[in-house]
Amino acid sequence: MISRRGFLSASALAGVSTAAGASLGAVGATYASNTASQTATADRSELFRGPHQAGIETDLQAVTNFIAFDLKASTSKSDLRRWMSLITDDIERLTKGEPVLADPSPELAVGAARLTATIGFGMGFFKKLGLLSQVPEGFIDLPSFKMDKLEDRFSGGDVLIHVGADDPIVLANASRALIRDSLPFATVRWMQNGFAHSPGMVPSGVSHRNLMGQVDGTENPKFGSQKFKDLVWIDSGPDWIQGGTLLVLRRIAMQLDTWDQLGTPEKEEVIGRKLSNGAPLTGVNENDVPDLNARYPNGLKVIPDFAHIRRAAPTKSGEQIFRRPFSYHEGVGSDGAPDVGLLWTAYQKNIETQYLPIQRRLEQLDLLNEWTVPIGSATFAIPRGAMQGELLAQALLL
Amino acid sequence: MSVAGGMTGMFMEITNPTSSEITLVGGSSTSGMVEIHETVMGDTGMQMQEINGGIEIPAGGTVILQPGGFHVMIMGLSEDVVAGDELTVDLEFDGHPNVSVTAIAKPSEAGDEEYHSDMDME
Repeated sequence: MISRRGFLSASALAGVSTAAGASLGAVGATYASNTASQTATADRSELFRGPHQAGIETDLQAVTNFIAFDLKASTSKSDLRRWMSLITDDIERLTKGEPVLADPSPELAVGAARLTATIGFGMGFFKKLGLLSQVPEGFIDLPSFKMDKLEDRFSGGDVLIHVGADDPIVLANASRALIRDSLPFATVRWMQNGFAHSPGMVPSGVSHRNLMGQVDGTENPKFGSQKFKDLVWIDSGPDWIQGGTLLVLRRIAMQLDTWDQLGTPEKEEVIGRKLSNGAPLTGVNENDVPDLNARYPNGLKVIPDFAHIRRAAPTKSGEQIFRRPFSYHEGVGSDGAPDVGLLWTAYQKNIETQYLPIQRRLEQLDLLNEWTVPIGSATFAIPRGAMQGELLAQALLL
Repeated sequence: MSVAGGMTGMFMEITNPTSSEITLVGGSSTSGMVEIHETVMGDTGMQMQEINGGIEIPAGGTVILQPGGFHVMIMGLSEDVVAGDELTVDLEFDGHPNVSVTAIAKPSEAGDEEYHSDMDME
């Protein structure tokens, strides 16, 4: 007889036997490319295993996909564990530049290209799975702000998979694999893609020149610093979130045509920084500390009251965030106006005490609001990293 | 998912580190009946069928079992298989003791080949 075969495929993880010194192993397939033809970009990789998930305290990659899912009504906590088991194995292989198990197109695993994939959970995840007791302190759905023009197609989501890589083919292939292995458990709510600089364009770090021309990410805490740890990595509360962090993702559209009607001095006053190198208007180098009290001889403040960096500056210790912003460019209208902006991210221990007060000040007064419009918004709690032999979010799904 | 009574394919890479040829001839599993299959072009498109004589793995060689090629078929599944489940198959070799392999079930776009068997699955 003839029938269709089921669409689930089983793939060998590993199997070994030893008999009289002979061993036979079944391992994941490796389709090694010709290493001689690989470039530095293909060879560079990020570590998957560790106390924190990769893709946060990580130099910006060239391209990114933020993929949000809604849990299927039937998905239970034990389903989640199976999902995380598949995803953990996928990410570990993709990070090494290897095909995932039973990859239908293994030839697309052309290199690691610093791929990272970071998972997070939205408030709906905790509600639907009855896990509200596990919600970290300071994790909230954002209130609405008066400049918001949010669209559902860019907002919300129960589960996030944030993929970054230095190569668009690697990114597309990894995203497809991760989506494929998620579909038994969830539906795709949205995918938002973005980019920063290609490898080699700027020194390593998380500053990138956004499409308004500004150097974005200057005030960030340094990687590996105590300050980064203090601002970003959670060290109390539910077990699963210790070593994790909280993410605010905002899709911020830029009105580039009206922005470019301004001259350079006006653009610099809106931000409070020089366009040339990101230095504050009171300094010379990007990392100089802005002098918010400096005045011109005529008495006017050098960094105006409406300037973005004045409004965003912390008013007390700890009122800071780590930003890892990508740009997006979706196309252009018939009038020639580009659909561009930022996939702006803030990572912090506590959204209520770190992001929210800054955002409230920007809501009250920030001249930059004239040219920027938040059109998407979501928050996700990012579990800690998976150590050897662990699943992502394992402590939450026991 | 593959439902109880249905079937699923199993893929892997098998390396033979010994100094003599071995042959994968079959297997057994509590999850269902195990056959070793190949995919061939038939009159009506790609078809899967039980392979005569098993899969030879030369001394020091590696054979890849993958969608569209050689694979282990588990038929008459004893229960539903959903993504993330683990299945264990005891693979039987000529020239080597049995090897137990545990695999994780994944969703797949593959498997559109027509399945061909002399056995009546109904």
